[in-house]
Amino acid sequence: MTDLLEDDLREAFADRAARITPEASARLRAVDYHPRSGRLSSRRARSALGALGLSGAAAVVGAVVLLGSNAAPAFAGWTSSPTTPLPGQLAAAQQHCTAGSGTPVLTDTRGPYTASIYADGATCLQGNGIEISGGGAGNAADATAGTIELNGAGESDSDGHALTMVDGRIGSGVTGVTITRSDGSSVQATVKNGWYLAWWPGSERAVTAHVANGKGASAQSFPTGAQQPSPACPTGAHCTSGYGFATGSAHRAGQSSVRVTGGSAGGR
Amino acid sequence: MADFDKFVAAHVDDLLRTAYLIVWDEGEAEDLVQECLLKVARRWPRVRRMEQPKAYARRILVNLALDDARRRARRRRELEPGDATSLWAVDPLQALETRAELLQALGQLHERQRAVLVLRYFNDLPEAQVAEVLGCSPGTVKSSASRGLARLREALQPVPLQPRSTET
Repeated sequence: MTDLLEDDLREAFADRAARITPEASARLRAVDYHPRSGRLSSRRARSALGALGLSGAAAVVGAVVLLGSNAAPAFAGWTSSPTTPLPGQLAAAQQHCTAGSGTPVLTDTRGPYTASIYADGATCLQGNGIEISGGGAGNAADATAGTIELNGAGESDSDGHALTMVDGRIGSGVTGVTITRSDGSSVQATVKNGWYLAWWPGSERAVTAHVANGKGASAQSFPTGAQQPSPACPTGAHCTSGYGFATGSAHRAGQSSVRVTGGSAGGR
Repeated sequence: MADFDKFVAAHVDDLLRTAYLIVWDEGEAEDLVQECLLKVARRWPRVRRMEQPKAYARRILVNLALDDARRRARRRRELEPGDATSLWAVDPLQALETRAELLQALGQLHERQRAVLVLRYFNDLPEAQVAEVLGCSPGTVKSSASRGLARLREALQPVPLQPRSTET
């Protein structure tokens, strides 16, 4: 026998659910959940970092940035060389990033931040209240012996936050990768299980990858590809713009986009 | 990804309503659904082959909502130490007889308990499926739903007036 309260409960839930405005559903339908998309503004992320999509050879299928109220705004504690993870750091990152994705094939820790790559090319960066995911689909092809794939992405938002990441497969014999950026500074990548990854705050472009192998080292140049200028962000709107490049089969050099992601700050 | 777009169009309303009823806030619900769909998109090649992609999305959504609720509760405890007011600390003279009052009582349940009721009575899922979504046993769902209903009944009872103290 059905309890009267249960009936009331069904009706009360239906009443409450009817309060959802059609605009809310429309906003969610309008979000581009596909490659290279920035993230729709949210109350939690409105003043935060832009989204990032990664793993060029493995097609990027989504990106999300979530910054909690305790997020460090300028990636405080980031280091140009990988650091040893603190006890529990990797487990915490996995807890945030891996539901359904299995174990990462590579983890890169820089201070409080942990970046991970999964076998399908999906990536995740987590730490200090930040969680960024870039989706991958399918397995990337192996790189030629002694070389690396040159994949990367950078994205920034209209609040001036930016992040750049390079990652990909490495060929046999590769033992180390160091990235030189457009300002001349270097970032040492983590190399593991046939993959490499490096990232940095800001929008300095990756220029050269110095690839160490058993016999010495070689340099590979990242595509300079004419990065098309992003369309202007309308006054008062929150925008996320990004670019990606890859030398793998899913070549996206020069791809550039901008997303208008909300009204003026503070209102939805 | 055309089929993913169709998936979003078909299910976003239901996901949004479910999230809204669990977290009780439209803005939060919208954020959660977006986060959920981005996660689903990331795994779409696998998800689309599942028997019930919507059930998978709902599981992600509910877990995100409950994770969020835990974070909010922790923040509240940090911000308001010692200010844990009773769940039912409401005006005793206020009669709890209407739909609005049932909603008010629902709004004061803990999110996990509300999630059980939402999945059971809004999404009309059988206990076994609610258990799958929440990652617990059907027995836990049953007892949790029963406790939730009991709290609602308790809240909807007319509150007797307290006798005046006879002490002088």
